[in-house]
Amino acid sequence: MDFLASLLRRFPQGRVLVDTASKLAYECDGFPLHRRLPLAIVVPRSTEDVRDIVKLCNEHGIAFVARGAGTGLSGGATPGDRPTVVIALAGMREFVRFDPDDRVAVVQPGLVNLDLSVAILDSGLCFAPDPSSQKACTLGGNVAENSGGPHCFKYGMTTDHVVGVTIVTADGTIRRLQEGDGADLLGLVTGHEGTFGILTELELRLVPAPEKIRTWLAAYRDMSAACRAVSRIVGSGVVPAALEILDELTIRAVEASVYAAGYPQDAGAVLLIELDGSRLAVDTDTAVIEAILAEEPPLTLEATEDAEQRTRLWKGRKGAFGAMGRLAPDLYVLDGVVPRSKLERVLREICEIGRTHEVTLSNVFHAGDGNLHPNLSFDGRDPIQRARALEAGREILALCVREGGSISGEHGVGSEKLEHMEFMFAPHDIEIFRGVKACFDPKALCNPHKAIPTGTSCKEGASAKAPGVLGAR
Amino acid sequence: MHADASERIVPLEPRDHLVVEGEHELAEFLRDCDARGAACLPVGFASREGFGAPVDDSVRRVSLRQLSGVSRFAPDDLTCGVRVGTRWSDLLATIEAEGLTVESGPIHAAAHRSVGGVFAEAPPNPRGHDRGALRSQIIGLRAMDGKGAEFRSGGRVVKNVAGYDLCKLFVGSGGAYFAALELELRLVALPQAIACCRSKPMTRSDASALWLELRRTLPDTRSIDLVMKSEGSACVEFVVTGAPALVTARAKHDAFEVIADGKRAWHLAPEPLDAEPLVMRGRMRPSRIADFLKWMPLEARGRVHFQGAFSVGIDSNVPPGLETDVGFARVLRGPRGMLRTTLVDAAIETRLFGVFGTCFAPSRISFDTSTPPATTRASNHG
Repeated sequence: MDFLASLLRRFPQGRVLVDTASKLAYECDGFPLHRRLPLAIVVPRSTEDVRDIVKLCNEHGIAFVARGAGTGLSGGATPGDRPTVVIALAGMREFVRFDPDDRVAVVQPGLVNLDLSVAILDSGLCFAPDPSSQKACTLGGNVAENSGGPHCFKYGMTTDHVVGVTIVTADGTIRRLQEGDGADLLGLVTGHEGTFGILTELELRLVPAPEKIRTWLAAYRDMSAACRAVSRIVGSGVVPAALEILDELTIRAVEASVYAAGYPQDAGAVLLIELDGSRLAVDTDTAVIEAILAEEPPLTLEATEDAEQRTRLWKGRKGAFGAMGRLAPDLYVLDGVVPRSKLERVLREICEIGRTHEVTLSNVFHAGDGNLHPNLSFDGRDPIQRARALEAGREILALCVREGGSISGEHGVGSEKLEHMEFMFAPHDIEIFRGVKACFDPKALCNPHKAIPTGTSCKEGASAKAPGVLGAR
Repeated sequence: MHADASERIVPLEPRDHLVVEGEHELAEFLRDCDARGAACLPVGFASREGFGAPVDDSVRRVSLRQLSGVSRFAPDDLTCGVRVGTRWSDLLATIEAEGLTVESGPIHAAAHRSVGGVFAEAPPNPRGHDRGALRSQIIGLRAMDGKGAEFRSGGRVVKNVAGYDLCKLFVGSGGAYFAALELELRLVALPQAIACCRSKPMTRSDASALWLELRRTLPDTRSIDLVMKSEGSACVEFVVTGAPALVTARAKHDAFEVIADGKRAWHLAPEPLDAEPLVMRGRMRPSRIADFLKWMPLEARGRVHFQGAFSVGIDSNVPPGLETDVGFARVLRGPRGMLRTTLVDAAIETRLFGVFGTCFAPSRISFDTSTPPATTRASNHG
């Protein structure tokens, strides 16, 4: 029996999608530059369903890729360059267990990030990792990508909040990995970008919801002044929950959009600072922050502890990527990291790269940990603009690595940055990574050609130019 | 807590080690092991040699203690690079001069422990329950595989998801996968004010109730430990950090007295368990603390940290059924050798050994002796 017939026999109608309209919905994730139609989409409801899909794929030598909400920004959930089944996990969104005394929640991978914190609101606990897409992105995707977010400056990345996972590895074996003593396979699996197997259950650590939150919006004449304020705050020893900067072009795009938050439009940069914690901790640290801000007074300064006002101040930041749609039809969101002390200089060089390639470039970034999101706005229908955007992106990521940083702080490598891995890693490093993947996926069926260059795909090292690999919009 | 535990560390069974002078020599040594099919075990100062799985006498030991020194220090970026043979105390001396420290700790006998050894052992850690445990402090590493070839993982910035996180595979590995050469660490500011507070001794039952209560209600703590003392008593300790006014307010707690403050409180290490016949380590669900204590013999002493990681010394048999009864618990190490361990996933781990070369001693973390030593004292359980 052929593969699709076997799938259709195992799963009821509506759980295996093979029509073109459905396939089009799964041809890419939030990185639209790479697109490919899947062979089929299967919608599991349980770990056992996933096991059966993977076993069938294994028997027939068919590649498979997990997908949550498809909000990833590096092509991690996009079908590969050989027939691929998409395992759509968004339907597996049950809240399995909540242990407030142990501060853990057990959930299925399709549960939306924000829905977890909302569900446990009354307990006084919350899930700390908060990617900008938290209203839509799934927790399985967060664990697979080791997602960050504005508040990971204080609370750490997703890996710091995962206590255990159930994963179906590429041979169809259901494995349970837990935090404990000995080899930290759980830590290795977190951030595997879906290349080791399919996560089917997550045990997540919760933290106390802050008793008090105080947020400032400081508008500066230029980016340098905003960066200096960040340096002073970090140097003071106070650990804010978030330190976020938006540049001039982003401010204008946001203020012209539905995400308008009242940011001063004459500012060269705005800095969002947030303290959270116990009342006493926030009150004592507030004095430090306000003294620092007074050293080089911003153009305007707004501070609030009111939930509604805070939501407004964050609206512009959280909606910044959406607002970029006003600048051009397509957006290429980069995710480079540099040592925080080099932010100011690297940002100047990034702007220069944008000018050289005649690309519209704006910046929104997690200033506390040096995680930059240069945004390249372009019209993908124009091959020249597309090529310019990709080349500018390549140069920016190379710059980040030259300055001691990384090609990705939180979005993952996916298919987007495969060719950039050589900036950071030597051939033997890559060989070791491939060996590690093979321990979980010896037949290379699980999200192949993602995260780690395999050396076998024609698009690696040439993806910016290969016709048919990049989709025009 | 034990104020100066350094004198308690004594290598249990000193053995011959090859002390390599540099990375080139290490690479040659590893290639030689590979060519001869000999297993090898990287160590630092060998202070924990008897503390863990027994290693066959045929295993060649190589000390990396000469690969030492802070290789890179970027205080403004809150990161540093350090060679694995550096003493933990030397690392702290360098970074604390700039007002920085490592979140995890305190590390007992820091002057006798290498940085690489501390991470390879990954002892249960009181601090970091809300800001990342020991495993989260390594942001990058440079290492050598079993054929003497160098490789890297991670980087030098605090946020980085490029490539698989092999740093995690080093933490707690006992050096079984590869020989780490240099680690990149995340640093934090030394808190402005620190206080370590301790309750009066009480029954274990009362102490566990107080521990659970504080976990729920006391904010701004860096650690909250249930301390089991011998003869069945216990107390609770917590460390609070922050601005002086905050620390003063939090330390004013009816049932507690401040036993240390400032840097002394930051470095106040738990009592060492090195002399105990058996040391159990693991992790349990905090809500199961009452069940856990039921299993513990009266003479057991040790600590249960905020997230349920524990380290307990006993001189009797490990209670059968402990693992299943309290959830996460795994029984791991004893100074007389590994008592019993559970591979996280035998199939995957065995394959991983092959990735890095087979000359390292995988038995350091991955064997099972099914016959525990004879019981020397009865457990108080059932």
